[in-house]
Amino acid sequence: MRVEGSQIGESVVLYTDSDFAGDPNSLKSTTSMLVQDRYRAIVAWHSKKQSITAKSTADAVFIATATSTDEAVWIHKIDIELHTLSHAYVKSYIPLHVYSDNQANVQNANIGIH
Amino acid sequence: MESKEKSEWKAAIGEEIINLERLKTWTVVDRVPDGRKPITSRLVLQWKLNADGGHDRYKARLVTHGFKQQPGIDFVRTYAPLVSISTVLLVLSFAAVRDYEIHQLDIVTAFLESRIKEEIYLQLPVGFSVVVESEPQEHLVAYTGERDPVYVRVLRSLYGLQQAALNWYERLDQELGKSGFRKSAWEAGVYFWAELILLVWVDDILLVGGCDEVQATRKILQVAFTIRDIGPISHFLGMRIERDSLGPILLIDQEGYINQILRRFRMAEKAVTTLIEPGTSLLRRKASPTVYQEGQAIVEAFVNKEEEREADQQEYQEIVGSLNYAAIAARPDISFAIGVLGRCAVDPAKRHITMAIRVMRYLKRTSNLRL
Repeated sequence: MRVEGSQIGESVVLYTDSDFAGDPNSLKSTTSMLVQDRYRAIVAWHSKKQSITAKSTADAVFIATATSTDEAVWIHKIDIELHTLSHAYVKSYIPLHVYSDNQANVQNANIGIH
Repeated sequence: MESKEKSEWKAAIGEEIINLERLKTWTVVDRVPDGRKPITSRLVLQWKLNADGGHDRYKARLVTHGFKQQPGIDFVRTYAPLVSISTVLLVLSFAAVRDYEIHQLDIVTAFLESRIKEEIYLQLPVGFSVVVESEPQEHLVAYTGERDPVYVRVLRSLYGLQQAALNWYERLDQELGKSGFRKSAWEAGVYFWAELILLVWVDDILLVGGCDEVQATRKILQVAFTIRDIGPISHFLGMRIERDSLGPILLIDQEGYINQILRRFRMAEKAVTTLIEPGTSLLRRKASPTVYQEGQAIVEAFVNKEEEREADQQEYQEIVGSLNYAAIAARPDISFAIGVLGRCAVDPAKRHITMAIRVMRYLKRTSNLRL
């Protein structure tokens, strides 16, 4: 899912996905996420059981996207801070790229952007 | 003390006492005021290993039993901020691309650098006694082996005290603020000074920037604290960090840390190539049979078997705990397996230990994978 277009290599990228009801004990799904910085070095990742029970694969992936984006946004902010050290002029808006391979999720996430 | 290296250990203890006295860590008191309980303490003796895992030096450190402190009297706030691993990796990647120096420093007896606000009394370990010096008149402490208790009032944040880490962080923050460092807006423990980045991990400090700036910052810190200069980064938080000579690439791995885990849990033998054996049940021990049908079948099949028996919870948690750090710090590939194992940590069965052992064997095979 590309929430906002801009050139690759300019900002932090988040890849996120989830399984569905992967934990047989609770039937909760598992979020997996991976964040690369603007040089494509992997800086954050986790595989974590979701805190709520998703009712569908679309739900599960959406939950995954929401929680991982929180963390990615924070890394994105530190990344921007590092790169604006020496410049008086701060580029006011650099987008964070979010990738997801679930069609329903891409549709859901883009509501409100257009 | 009955050991072959008696004299080395005595020297190490002497060195620790000199450090403590030099910083005026305490004043000797005759007795503790009524209604106050002294906190006990002990000496921790350690062999410090160098980067290759070889023997480096003997070290003694006086630590307090901070868990005996009473909230509200002996301490108020204990929370101290810590940078996240993501930030460390982000800064390292930034440094690699810019071809900046990455210089590592270690603050010697960092916690002792900060004063303590509360009134705390301490009972020194057995063996310490007071030596009265006449010129100038001072009560010094020495390790003589005598058995009478010695009480002191603590003036600085000794290791083990609940608020030690917080006090140290505040002291460093103040010092850096005075020297014109700007704090990061998003992450405590990250500071900027012109184009230099300073990263704090308790008493380890990373300086990232141009050569001149790194040297200048080192001098500033040298004035304020006693520092041990480690030089260009090679090992940080259990990760081995190497610069690739071919380009702007840093290689990060945890071979040393993983080998340490394997040795600790005596995992010298076989290595495997997969993390979890196909068809392994991810169910908890005594999982509710009503969860779903497939689950029920598995539970019934396993319920009376040896591998369903209760396992040593402490051992299991130690294994999963040490593996978890590897997963967090430099090994995304084992994240999922560790997550599954972690869920079962409350009541592990024998088969969960088997799973954990398999992860360790996988690590043995792949301990040199790099980020």
